[in-house]
Amino acid sequence: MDEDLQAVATLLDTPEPTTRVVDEGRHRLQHAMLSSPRRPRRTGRWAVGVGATAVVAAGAVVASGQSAPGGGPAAGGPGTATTRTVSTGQHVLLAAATTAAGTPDGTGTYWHLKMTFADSGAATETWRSQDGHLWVRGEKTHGAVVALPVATPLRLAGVEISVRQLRSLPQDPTALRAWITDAVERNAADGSVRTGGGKLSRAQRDELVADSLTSLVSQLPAPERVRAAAFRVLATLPGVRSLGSVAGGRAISFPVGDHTARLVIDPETARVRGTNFVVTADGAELWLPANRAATVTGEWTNTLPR
Amino acid sequence: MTASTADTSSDAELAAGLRDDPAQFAAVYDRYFPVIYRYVAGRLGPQHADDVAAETFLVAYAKRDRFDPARGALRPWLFGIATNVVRQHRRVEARRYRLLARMPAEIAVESPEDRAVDRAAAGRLRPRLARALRSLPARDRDVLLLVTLGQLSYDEVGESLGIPPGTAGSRLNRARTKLRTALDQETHHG
Repeated sequence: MDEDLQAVATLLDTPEPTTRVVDEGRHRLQHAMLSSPRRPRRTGRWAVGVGATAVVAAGAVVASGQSAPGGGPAAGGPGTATTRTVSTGQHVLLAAATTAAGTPDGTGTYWHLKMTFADSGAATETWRSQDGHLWVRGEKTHGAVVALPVATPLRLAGVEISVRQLRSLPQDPTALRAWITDAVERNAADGSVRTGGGKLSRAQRDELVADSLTSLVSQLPAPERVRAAAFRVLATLPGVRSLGSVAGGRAISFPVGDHTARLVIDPETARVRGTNFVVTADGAELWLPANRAATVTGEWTNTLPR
Repeated sequence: MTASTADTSSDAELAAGLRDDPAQFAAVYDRYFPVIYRYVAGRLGPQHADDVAAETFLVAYAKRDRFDPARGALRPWLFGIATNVVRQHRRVEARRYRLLARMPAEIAVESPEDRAVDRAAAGRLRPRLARALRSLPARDRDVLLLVTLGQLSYDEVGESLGIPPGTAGSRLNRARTKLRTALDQETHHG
């Protein structure tokens, strides 16, 4: 380069962007990618419903981002349609996604899930084999590991799902959201999932989508890359808030129907250490009061204690 | 996402995949964020570059349907968007040149010790150079900085700004004439 041009380059030279800057920019982009409405390419039966959900979600994220207390870094420059502020709560989820995406998947014969309840310290543990058999240890079994007599399947979007199916879930956030939304719509429409009052309302279907995402990141033996995608979709839900640092990690909350889901995410491992929403071994969904919040650990193991 | 496969794909493949799979845009980001950042940081300073470089990719993502591989490559397209976003921060850019004109070279330039002579020379030149940059018409400065900071060719500058390569060349020459005048004055009177 000629001398005068080189002098300009030297004068204006700056350091490389830090990893943090690169990551934050990528988070903002990925957030925008998730929030932008899907193009109406689908021709399937649920195309209209899915598209509508995506648009509603995009609008809501903008609103929540702007109103979140103590929100994240303000977007620079004049606003464009695509500029969205990533709130602190969303940032916790997006950081967890990055961590999960870089975590190797565990291996083992049994999916071991342990839930410890904050108020009593009581723990419930389950070991699940890949063919759906379940062993339980808890207060009711007086410390013994007891095999359940009937197969108790895992559930996602309200219906049974196998470990093999979990492994084949989309690892791309947009595709995962579409998969879950489609599944919820289908299961609600054909009556696979219903309430006492009949078919699920729009609000109940949205709630089931949020429940499914929460299960994926916290309790289900989903591959890490699927969990990463689920974290990213969770970050687009309206009303995600940061509750700050707590024992075990960073706490966030988001409204789910009449409830407020609360998750404690360990930033080192991207595991959900605390939650007030759990699905029990028999498929019941429990919302716990704040003082009963459960610590959840899930891991693959080859050992089944007897 | 698909970063590992995207690393080995060509720009053309990356660009072709964008229409079908918007998620591939993350690979565009990973490939081009560092060079866009350096360009933006050079013009606006590192404090503002974080936001503006990130914003460049948000705008590019929103406009991805308008990217036409037949009319040029991804790199000049992204630099063109970055230039548009930088233009919205004219005052920040002017302030950067004012600061550079005042700041001692020892603080602003982190050169190795053995370049102490260069550094001293740069120290004398920098106030005039920074003032000259500030006084350039925006469209001439755009071309100059796309070449020096972005290392774009005339053809690529033309693609970035939507102007013929010849126009890019004449704007660059005009800018360089002013810079040389500023530097020569320094030599004669300094």
